[in-house]
Amino acid sequence: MKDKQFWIVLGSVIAAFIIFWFAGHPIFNEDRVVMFIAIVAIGATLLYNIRIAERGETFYLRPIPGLKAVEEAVGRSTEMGKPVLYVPGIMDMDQVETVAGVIVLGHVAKMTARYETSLNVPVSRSIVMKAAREACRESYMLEGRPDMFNDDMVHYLTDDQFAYAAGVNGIMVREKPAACLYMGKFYAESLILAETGNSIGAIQIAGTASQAQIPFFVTACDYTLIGEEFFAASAYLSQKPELIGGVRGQDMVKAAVITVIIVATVLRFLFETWGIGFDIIKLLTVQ
Amino acid sequence: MIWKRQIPILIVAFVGALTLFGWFIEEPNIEAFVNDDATQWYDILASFAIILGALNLMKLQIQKVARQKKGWPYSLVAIGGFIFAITAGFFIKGVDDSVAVWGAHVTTEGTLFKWMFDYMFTPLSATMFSLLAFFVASASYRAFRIRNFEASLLLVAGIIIMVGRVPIGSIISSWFIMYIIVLALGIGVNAWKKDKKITFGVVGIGVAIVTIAGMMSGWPLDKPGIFYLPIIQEWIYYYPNVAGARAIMIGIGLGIFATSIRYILGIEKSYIGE
Repeated sequence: MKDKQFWIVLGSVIAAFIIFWFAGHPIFNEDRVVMFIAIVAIGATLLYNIRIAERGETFYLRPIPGLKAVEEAVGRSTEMGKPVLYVPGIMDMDQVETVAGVIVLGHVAKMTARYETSLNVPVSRSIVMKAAREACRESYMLEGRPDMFNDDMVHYLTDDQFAYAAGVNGIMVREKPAACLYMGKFYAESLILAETGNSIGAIQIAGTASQAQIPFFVTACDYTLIGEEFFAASAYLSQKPELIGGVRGQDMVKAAVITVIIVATVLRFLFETWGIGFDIIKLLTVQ
Repeated sequence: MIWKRQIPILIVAFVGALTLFGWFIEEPNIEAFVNDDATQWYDILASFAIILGALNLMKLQIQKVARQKKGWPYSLVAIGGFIFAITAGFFIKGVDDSVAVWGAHVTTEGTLFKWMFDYMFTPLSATMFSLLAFFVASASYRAFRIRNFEASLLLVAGIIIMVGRVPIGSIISSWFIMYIIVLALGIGVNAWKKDKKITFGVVGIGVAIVTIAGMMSGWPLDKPGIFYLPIIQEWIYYYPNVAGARAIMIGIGLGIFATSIRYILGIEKSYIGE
C-alpha cells in the first residue's frame, strides 16, 4: 500500500465497473469481459510499478549483453572511422516494433553524436523517415552537436521489401559500416541483410519481435534482442525510472501469466479426467 | 510548445484509448472507427507521405550523380528507373482506352506499366528473394558448427527435423537410430571416464541389448516409435519448439502491451522528443 492515490483510483474504477455491470452493462461486449479484466489488471500492474519507480525506488535490471554492446559497436565504428548503419525495419509507424525501433534509434543517435561518428539510416516508409529524422535531430541537439546532424542521414529508399533489401545491401557493400543495427519489424529480408553485414565484418546487433526472424538474426548477428528485450531497450538505454518501472511491471505480469498457465493446466486436468470444477479453457478463450 | 507536445500526446492518448477499449464496446460507430476508419486514415496519410520519400530519394540520387560520389552510376540507374516508372504510370499507357483506362492500366496485360512490373520488377525481386537460399546455407553452416553444448543440441535437432521430414527419413529403421544412440553413448562415456574397457563394455552391452530386442520383435521399421525419425521430428516440432515459441510470444505480447500503455498514458514521449 505504498501508493494510496493509486489504490483509491483503482478501487474507484473497479467499483464503477461493478456498478456498470450490475446496471445491465449497456453496449459492453460481455463475451470479452475476461479480456477486459486482464487488460485492466495488467495496465494497473504496469502503472503501479511506474509510479513506484518515479517515487525513487530503484529496481535491479538484468544486464542484457545486446544492449551493452550497442555502445561498444558505436565505439568500434568511431575507432575504425566508419559509419554506423541503422535499419528500423521495413514496416510503417503503425507497428509497435517500428516505433520501438525509432525510439532506440534516438538513443543510438545520442551515442553517435557523442562519439562524432556518422550515422546512416535508410528507411522504407516515408512516415518512418520523418519520425526517425526528428528522433535523430532531437538526440543531436540534446548532445549539443546540432552541427553534426543533417536531414540526409535518415533517407528513404523504397517501400518494396526486396528492393529495400537490395538498397541496404548496396550501402553495406559500398560503405562497409563497422556496425549494423537492425531494430524493428522484419520479414524474409532479415537474413539477406544480416548475412551481408556478416560478410563485410561488421559488428551486428538485432532487435525484433518478428518471431519467425529471430532464429535468422541469432545465427547471423553478434547480439540479438529477443522479443520483450527489444521493447525494454528504451528503458535500459535511457535509465529513466518511469520506463524501468514498466519493465519491472512486465516481469510481474509475466510471473502472473506463468501462475495462470500452471493453475489452468491443473484445473483442465481435473476437469478432463474426473469432471471436477469447470472448463477453464472456455473461460480464458478470447471471443 | 503546446502544439508540438501536449496536443500530439492528447491525440495519441485519445485515439489509443478509443482503439483499445473500442474492442469491448458494441456500438456500430465505434466499431467502424476501430476496425476500418482509423486504419484508412493512416493509409491516406501514408499515401501523401510517399511524396516526401520520393522527393528525398531523388534529391540524394541527383546529388550523388552531380558530385560524382562513389557508386554514382548506380544512382543514374535509380533516377532512370524512377522516371520510367512515373512515365509508365502517369503518362504513357501503351494501349488504347478500349483496352485499359487510366488507373486500370497498372494491372492490365499489354500496358507499359504491367510490362515493367512483370519483366523488370518481378524478376529483380525474385532474384533478391532467391539469394535467401544461399544465405540460409551459409548461416546454417555457422549455426551448426559444434562449438558448445547448445550448438551440438541445435545440430542434432536440425538433422532430426531435416531428415525426419523427407521421404528417406521414413525408411530409416528405428533400430538403426538405436545403434547410433548406443555409439553416441559410448563417445560420452569415453569422454567422461577416459577408459577404453568401460567404453567398450558400455557399447558392447548396448549393441547386445538392441540386437536381442530387435531379433525378438522382428525388427519392425517404426517400432519403438520414440526412435523412429518421423515421430521424433514431430515431437520436437510440436512440443519443445512450440513451447519455446509461445514463451517468446507471451513476452512479445507483454512488451507490445506495455509499450502501448506507455504511449496511451503519455509516459513514453520520446517519439515527439524529450
